[in-house]
Amino acid sequence: MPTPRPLSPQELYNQCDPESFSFASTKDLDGKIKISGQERAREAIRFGIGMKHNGFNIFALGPAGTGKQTTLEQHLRDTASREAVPEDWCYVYNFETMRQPRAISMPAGKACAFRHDMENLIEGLLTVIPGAFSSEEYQEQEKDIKEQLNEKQASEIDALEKKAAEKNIALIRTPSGFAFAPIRKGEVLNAEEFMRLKPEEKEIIEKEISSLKESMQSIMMQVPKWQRATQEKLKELNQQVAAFAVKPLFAEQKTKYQDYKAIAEYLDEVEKDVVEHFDQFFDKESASQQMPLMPGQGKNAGSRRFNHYRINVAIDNSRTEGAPVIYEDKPSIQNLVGDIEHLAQMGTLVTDFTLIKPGALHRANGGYLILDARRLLLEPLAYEALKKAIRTRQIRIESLAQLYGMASTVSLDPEPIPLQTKIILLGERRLYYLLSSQDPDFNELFKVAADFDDEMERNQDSHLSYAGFISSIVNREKLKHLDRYAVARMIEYGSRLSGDSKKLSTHIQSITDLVNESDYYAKQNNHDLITRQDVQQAIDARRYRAGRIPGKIEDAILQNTILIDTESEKVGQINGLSVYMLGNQSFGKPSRITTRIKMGKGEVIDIEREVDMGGPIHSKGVMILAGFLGGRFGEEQPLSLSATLVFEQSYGGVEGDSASSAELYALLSAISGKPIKQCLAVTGSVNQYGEVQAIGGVNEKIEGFFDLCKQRGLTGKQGVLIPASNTRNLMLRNDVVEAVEEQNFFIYPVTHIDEGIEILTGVSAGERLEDGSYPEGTINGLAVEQLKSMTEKQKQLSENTNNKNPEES
Amino acid sequence: MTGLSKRITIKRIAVAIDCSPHSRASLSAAAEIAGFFNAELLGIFVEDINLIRTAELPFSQEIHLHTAQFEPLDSLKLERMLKQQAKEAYELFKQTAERFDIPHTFRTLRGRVLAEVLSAALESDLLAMGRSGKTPLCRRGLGSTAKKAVRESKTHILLTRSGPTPVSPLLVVYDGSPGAKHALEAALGLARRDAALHVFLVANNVQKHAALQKEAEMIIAKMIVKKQFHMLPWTDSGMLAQCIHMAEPGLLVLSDNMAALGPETVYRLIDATDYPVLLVRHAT
Repeated sequence: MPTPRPLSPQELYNQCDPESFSFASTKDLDGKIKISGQERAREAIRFGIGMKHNGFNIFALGPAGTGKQTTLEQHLRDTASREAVPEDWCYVYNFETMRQPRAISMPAGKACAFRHDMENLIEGLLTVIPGAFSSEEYQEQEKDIKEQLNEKQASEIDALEKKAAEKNIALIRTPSGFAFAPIRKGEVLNAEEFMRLKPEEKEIIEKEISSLKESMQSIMMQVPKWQRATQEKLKELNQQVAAFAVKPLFAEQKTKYQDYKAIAEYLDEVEKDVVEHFDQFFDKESASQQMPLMPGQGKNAGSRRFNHYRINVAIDNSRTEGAPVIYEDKPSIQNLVGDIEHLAQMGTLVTDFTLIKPGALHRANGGYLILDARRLLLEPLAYEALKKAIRTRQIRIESLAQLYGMASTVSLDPEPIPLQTKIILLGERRLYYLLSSQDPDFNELFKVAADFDDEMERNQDSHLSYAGFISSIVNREKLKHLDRYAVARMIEYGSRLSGDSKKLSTHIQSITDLVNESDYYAKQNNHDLITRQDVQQAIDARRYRAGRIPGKIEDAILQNTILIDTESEKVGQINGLSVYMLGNQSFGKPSRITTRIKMGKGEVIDIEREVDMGGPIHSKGVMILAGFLGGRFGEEQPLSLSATLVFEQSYGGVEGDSASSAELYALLSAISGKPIKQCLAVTGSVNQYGEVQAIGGVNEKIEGFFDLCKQRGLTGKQGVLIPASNTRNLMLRNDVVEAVEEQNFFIYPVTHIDEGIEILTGVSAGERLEDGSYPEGTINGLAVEQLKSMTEKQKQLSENTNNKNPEES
Repeated sequence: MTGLSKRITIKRIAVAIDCSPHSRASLSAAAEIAGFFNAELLGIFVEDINLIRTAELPFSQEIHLHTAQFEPLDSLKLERMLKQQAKEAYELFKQTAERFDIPHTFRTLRGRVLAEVLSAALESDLLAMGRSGKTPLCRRGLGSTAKKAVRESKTHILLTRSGPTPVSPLLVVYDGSPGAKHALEAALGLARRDAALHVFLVANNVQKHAALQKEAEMIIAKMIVKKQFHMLPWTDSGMLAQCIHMAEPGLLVLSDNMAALGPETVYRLIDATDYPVLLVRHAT
């Protein structure tokens, strides 16, 4: 099998040609936000927005920073602006059931006007009603009614007094009532005089007085009835006067709002209540007793006295253009469905309908509500409340404290408002799949999945889109513009970020960060525009800032604390490559992999697994090796060896199968006895047929080994073996490319294990001959010989053992 | 009623006090006048002998106003109650007099209320009392004691009512008679310079009205700036009461010695109106 040639410098880095751009700098671009790629997600969004049926809410899934929100907002801005402005909503007092405030809708912009009109109406009532009741005509009528009662009482008593006087009996006014006593010459008889009277006279007097007392009692008993009648008359008069006084004010409002049935009905109820409770408008002073004014409250709003005539504007769309698009950053249950606030008054919590606070669902009603799924799920009960609102298609405000009995105060049960909002959740993929599998409601309520990719194809169009997007960042963040060379470097960075030279990352957050950081260095370097050098400086600085741990590891290797050989040749020892992820940074590091063989039964022992430090994928990779060995060498004879594999100086566990090819090379070396060049490092997984398969983090791995070699001095022999299928992923650092160009470092694309072993040992792997054997001197030939020898030895040992046993017995 | 001139001379004012709201008002008004004239204030509380005797009768029972139930009248309890009322009246009187810093005397008398009040008032230049007393049921017009006092009192009499008592405007019914002139002078004596004065000229023709106005203006001279003259062709108390009501006076000043209006008409007029009244006696 021919060994592959090392990759050329051009294959290591897909450069973006700045000359292909028609613009000199991003200043020449329009600066509008353009998101390229994501066609699948865009189509899903278009579909989701267009579908007005139940449950066609959208879940935009994809890694954070891939522009989900930006794309959505861009789409919604176009769509929503063409849609009708939704209605305003108000909460008003329910005169029948005060605990259930009514919700009234009206055309956009009317709610605030209506609230203002009602405030003016209250002001008017405060003037008109006292005016009507202080008029002379009313006072006269009121006095007349009261005096009718007095007259009635007085005339009855006067008549009785006269009747008594005719019989020489006086009506005496006592501190608590009345008494009757006989008189002579205007003076009441004293006890002695009375006792001197004849018995008949005394009897007559007592009889008369008794009769008079009964008459007086009869009058007294009628007094409450007369008082009630008087009160009724007064009430009737008052209501007539109040009704007459307020009629013009209400007539004006009713005419104004005659087209809105709900408002007209409400005004009727208010009028009725005002007439019934007209006396509350008498004391204007106390009406304006000030409580702390809340922002947005008008005059007289400080008083809670006339709250039941006020309007709580829950939704004001007077300034809304098109359908509202709301992003709720903190989707707590209160912020979503609204809340009923309370005021502390005299040590007690009180509330009324004016303290109903609308939520994001109210504000987005008739439009679109965007929520971050993770934040939504982190808020207690918020997800359930949202689902309930979507399912019932209405927004019902329920106090959390009331729901859970945490507050014992009387609260409200506001009338629910019909919900017509498209809900859009933004979240990571695993969150979507988790909800989809675990929540039975989810798929019913969020039928549209807009799957955002984290990369897009790299071509001339996407280069221009990237440039446009960078231009929009510059405009939005008010940064320096980038010249075309800087844009090209940004694109290359995007490609490196995606881990594919033929793709670009859609992680716009990383791009935005790099533009910001480049702007900083452009200012430091006194550049008018951000140049390629500034961008590179920002990238290097970022790497330097994150370089503490890789630096420490490199030092440890250079000081031989961690043993990595980059010069000699060793049997059963190889440099594998691994990637470490620390935060949002990743770096590559070489690891020594060694293998020892002994007689056995064909098993390959993964020491990492034996001590529970190996992950399942790694273990799987090692087992594949056993499969490969069995397939290649075990057809003709049993494999009588036992091999042990280990990642030397690994203390944190090993996962992944990207070292499986390296492990196989080490095994082949150990079995064949041919040493491996330690100036080479290997990455790539392998299957049972010895085909080398792609792995991740190839750039970091190559750079990790390159950095070590560079520190020790490039010898012109060092290099890395990578899977050939990873060639397209190469976007290597400039110093690596330069070293390759100068033939100081080599990168070999390997497709099969036989290619790799030849590069590593300088000995041909050897192709299988027709008789099933391998050519002598080749790796495979040597391996077969070694295995045969081991089998023989094992057989010999076995026979010796069997022969000894009968003698012993 | 500050800022009074001294057209009438008052050295002693008798105030009948029964602690009713009306009598409290009369005490305040009397104290103010006394303060201006440096007059002495005489407080009178009368323990009604008729009430005491009634309580002593073997069959006496009172009918409670609010329950219409009968209950025996206990004379001892009544005596205690009257003493308590007298004490209360005295405290009120004393506080009021001291507030105005005027010499004062208080008497508790026992007898028929009217007779005792009028008798005590004989030593005074002005008798002040409420329009009605502690009547359990309110009634329109004057109470029985006030009604009789109006007729039988020999001194000027000031009848007040409870509630706020604005001094202005003053209202005088003037017919040119000596009694009416006296009433007008008394009104001027009690008026502030900035007070308003309504003069009802009882005249059945324009000439007489003009003549009466001229007379009245001469009496008023420059003592009061805001004055209004109204021609009244009626002499019956009902029409006069309606006209007075339209002016809403703070104090109605009348004489019962007028040519156009007989004393009975004046008494009926006082009964029919619900405003504070100063009835000026010609004899003093």
